[in-house]
Amino acid sequence: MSWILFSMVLSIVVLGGLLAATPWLMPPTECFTITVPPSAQHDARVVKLKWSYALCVAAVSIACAAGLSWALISVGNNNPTEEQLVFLTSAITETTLIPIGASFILMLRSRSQVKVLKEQEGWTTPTRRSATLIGNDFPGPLPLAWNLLYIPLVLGMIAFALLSYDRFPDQIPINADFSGNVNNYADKSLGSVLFPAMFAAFMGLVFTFTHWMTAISKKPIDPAAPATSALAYGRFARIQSLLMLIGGLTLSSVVGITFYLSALQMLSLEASAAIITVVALVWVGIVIVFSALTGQSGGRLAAQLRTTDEVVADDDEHWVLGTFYFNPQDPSLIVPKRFGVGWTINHARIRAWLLIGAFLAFTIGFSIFITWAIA
Amino acid sequence: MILEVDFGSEEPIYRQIRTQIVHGVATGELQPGDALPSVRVLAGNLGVNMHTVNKAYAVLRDEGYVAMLGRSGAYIADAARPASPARAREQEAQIVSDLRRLAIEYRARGGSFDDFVALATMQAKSVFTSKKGDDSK
Repeated sequence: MSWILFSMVLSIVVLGGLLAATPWLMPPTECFTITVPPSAQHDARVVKLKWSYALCVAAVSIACAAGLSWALISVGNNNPTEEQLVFLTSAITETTLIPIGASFILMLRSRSQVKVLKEQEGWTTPTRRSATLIGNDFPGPLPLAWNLLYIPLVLGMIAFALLSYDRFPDQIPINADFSGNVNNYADKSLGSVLFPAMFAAFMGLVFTFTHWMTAISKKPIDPAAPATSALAYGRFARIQSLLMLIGGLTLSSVVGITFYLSALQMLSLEASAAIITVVALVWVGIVIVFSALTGQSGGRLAAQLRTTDEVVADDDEHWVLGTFYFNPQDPSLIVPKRFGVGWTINHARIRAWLLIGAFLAFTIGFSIFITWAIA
Repeated sequence: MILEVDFGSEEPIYRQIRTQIVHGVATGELQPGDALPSVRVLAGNLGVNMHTVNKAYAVLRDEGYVAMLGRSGAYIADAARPASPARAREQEAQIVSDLRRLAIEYRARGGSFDDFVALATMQAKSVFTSKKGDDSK
């Protein structure tokens, strides 16, 4: 089994681990997407719900990882047939999607149980308040200007490609099968030689867009602990934006360097793919570790710093299935996720849908453009 | 500074926003030239309608606390810069009438002159001596 495939199995385990740990990563006033007082997190029944959710998700993920390993071993090391490739692709897709689906269903089950407990225990809040910080002492994501670093990267790649144009062979290997045999070449042309620069520009735009979305996100301030929750969220947003910046620049550079090295026949395509996979996985691993350390919206830090058990805000009614934020009264387009680490959109805002649509159109457009440019 | 709104309060939300920004100016937490968040950002972070924030900013602008630049730029205005002399007289008259109303209410409940002055002095002292970062009300 090629170890690129092994790393896919590993990433399913890591993904499953993050999904299983999610109930412990949320802000202190959220439990399976339901607003509760922080002390409820230590209620024996709630703790039991969290553990049974976590163990189920972990079991499903391990089963999926085992299933994928079995699929990979059964196909074996030799050149897989067309049929086997289809089988492998669907196995990889399914074993990635099943833990996500299981986590969603198990979350919904635990959510309805927490809802019942909330009713029984009177964990509701009579007051409805909200808070924000104004002034410049508000921590937040890195300034967007940091993304200008992509410009020298792209320009450097263009300069290198043009200056070394004569040294590239007439055929540039661009694709290899699972066992490393090159099965697709591109004719040498400006389009194919400039591929890394176009890819870096694409990554730059995608990561800048993502960074901008975090910058315009609603800042989730807990009115019962405004300063500490703002601090926790600010640190979280800063770390996430920093990881995105470093990840985007590193991946673009590594793709560019390995592409040129393999085009100049100084590195095999398999080694290039291995290097890119390792770098991408290490980056994903770092993102997951930091997400687990800070928690969603800095929830773990916020939990440590919170001194009262008061809950004064409850917007559960706007979270459809605990997952989709739908609040026509809220002008925010982007909000932090309710279950999981990251951000989502306010589904009641047409502008938010347009943003997602524009993003998808840009990604698909780029894929078509790059295929055309290389061919 | 922390800005908080209470959706259960009888005081309209735009008044709550207005009062707290005036408080921030009084205590020096908000200095002349400090930028306020845009209407969209403040409304989003508080989870209130944009019209509400627009109204609060419009009132603050009319009262001379905030200078509006363009569509979304709101800044704390220079201190003691009422919109016009007429406006300044109006504000002074408003304060006098508010104080008179409070004194009448206090006396109606059987309070003495000395106690009222003592309470007023205490509040005035706490406002005029509180420094930046002190959020006591």
